[in-house]
Amino acid sequence: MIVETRALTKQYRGKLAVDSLDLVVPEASISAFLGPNGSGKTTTIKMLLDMVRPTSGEALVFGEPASTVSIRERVGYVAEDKRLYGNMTVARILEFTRPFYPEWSRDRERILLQRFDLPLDRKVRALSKGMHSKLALVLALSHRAQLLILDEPGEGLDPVANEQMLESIVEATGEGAAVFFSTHQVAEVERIADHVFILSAGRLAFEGSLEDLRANCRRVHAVFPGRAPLEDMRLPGVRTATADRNRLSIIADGNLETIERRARDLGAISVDLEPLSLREVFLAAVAEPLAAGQPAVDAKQYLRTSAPRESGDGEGSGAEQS
Amino acid sequence: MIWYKAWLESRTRFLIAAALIAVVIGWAILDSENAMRRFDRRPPITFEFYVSIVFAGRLQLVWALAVALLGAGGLLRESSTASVQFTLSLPVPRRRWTEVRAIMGAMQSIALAMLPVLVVPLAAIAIGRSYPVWEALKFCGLLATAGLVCFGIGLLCSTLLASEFSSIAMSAVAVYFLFTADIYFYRWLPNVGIGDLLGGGRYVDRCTGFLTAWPWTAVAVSLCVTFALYRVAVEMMERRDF
Repeated sequence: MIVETRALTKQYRGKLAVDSLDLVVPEASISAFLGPNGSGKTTTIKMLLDMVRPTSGEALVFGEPASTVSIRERVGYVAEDKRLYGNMTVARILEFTRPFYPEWSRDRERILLQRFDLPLDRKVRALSKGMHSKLALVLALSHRAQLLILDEPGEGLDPVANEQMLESIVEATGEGAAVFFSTHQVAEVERIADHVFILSAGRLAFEGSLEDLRANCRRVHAVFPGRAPLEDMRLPGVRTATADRNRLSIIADGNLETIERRARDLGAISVDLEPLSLREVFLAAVAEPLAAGQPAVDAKQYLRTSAPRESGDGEGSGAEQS
Repeated sequence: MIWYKAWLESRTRFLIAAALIAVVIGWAILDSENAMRRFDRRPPITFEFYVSIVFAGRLQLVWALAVALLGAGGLLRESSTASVQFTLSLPVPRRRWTEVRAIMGAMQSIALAMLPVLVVPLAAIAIGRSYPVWEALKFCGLLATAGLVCFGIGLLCSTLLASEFSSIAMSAVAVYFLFTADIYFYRWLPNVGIGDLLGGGRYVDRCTGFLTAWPWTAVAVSLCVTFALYRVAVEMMERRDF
């Protein structure tokens, strides 16, 4: 694996920013890191780069502790805040950065500069927000990094530049780099990512390949003759479940046959399974617990990727996870 | 490149401080005839003794504030401008950034202290007098070594406060207290005044105005304190989250 975290935890003045995070980023893949604001994405990324020290647990990059300085020669990073040294020109900051990376490619740099149309003689402080993002990308992509850690790389980019950015990321993967990027743009993730991690309140709420997600994630609609038996649908694979009188709506990421069979056994008149978009999975994964009195299952009770999906009927076990 | 970055970040402060010291000391020498007349002494003070008073007075003040200013900056300040994330993503140990900045700042502080070695003899020639370079070197060397503690204070303050303004203000206050420590502590530590140490104090010959010896022990203690401040600054930066 390129990146691995084991029970990685960061606490700021008693508040958990990242909570026992276990993450494995596969090699030569594009992994997206999704999560609402304040869910701990940037803190996790900073711990991978040793900018923030974990309270407990460990982060490994290329199998070595994240505090190992030499691993950063193989990592390209774009920070959430793309600001660079304002007192340097674009040409000077490139000149400054090159010597730190033995694998720096002048050809790659030239291509990226042309692609992003950056003015070499302009001071960094005079660049627009979008240009800052482009320059940060040039600096991260020019040294043939084996791992690209990009924290909201498309922020501030216009649609054309955003396309160029995505193209550059895919190109880097084509050359063997693994990409780990955080974003709020679910559509981008669906286009380029192989793997998705969804973080909610510092915990991993969903993890899997996009292929698995498309194959296994479904919205299950069931209609019952009487009141929908919400509590009886607590099964492994169920992420959220809401009931409205006789209608039950479930978002599930596996164990679909069991869920469907259980609904029919409970007397459902009809059971329909619809494919889910990543956006819907994301919203289900980060859903806040519903207010008391609402006819719904507390979403958080199901937000555990470790639920034993493979079990036969799995009765009760998924619901017990929390 | 790390050195280049450290130079870029400090060069404006260094050049302004150098210009300020050159002007203050240059003017003190060029105006020495008037200034010496203001000393109501019989016999009148010599030019050399007047220079020793300048070294022990306004040069110390300007230099101490300038080096406290040179201690400002660094990773914590960068965190307020957000470029620190780029800096820390480079394959350079965090400790190294602080080390380079400290060494660069210390070298600039020494260069500023040594500036009067050129300015004083040249300004003296301009008014038809002379001042031995070697004697100027002794005073300035004392300032550069024993006074480096002021830079250490600036460096430490820059690791405590992210705002450059707050860090400089805190350094200035700390340097002020250092220079006036003898007022508060003279009953217990009569020789604690750093101002007296940097100006040569009892080692200045009242007749010639030259340094007769160097306060080696005090210089060594001051250098040890500076090194301790530097180590604390490095350790604080090592432990900090960015």
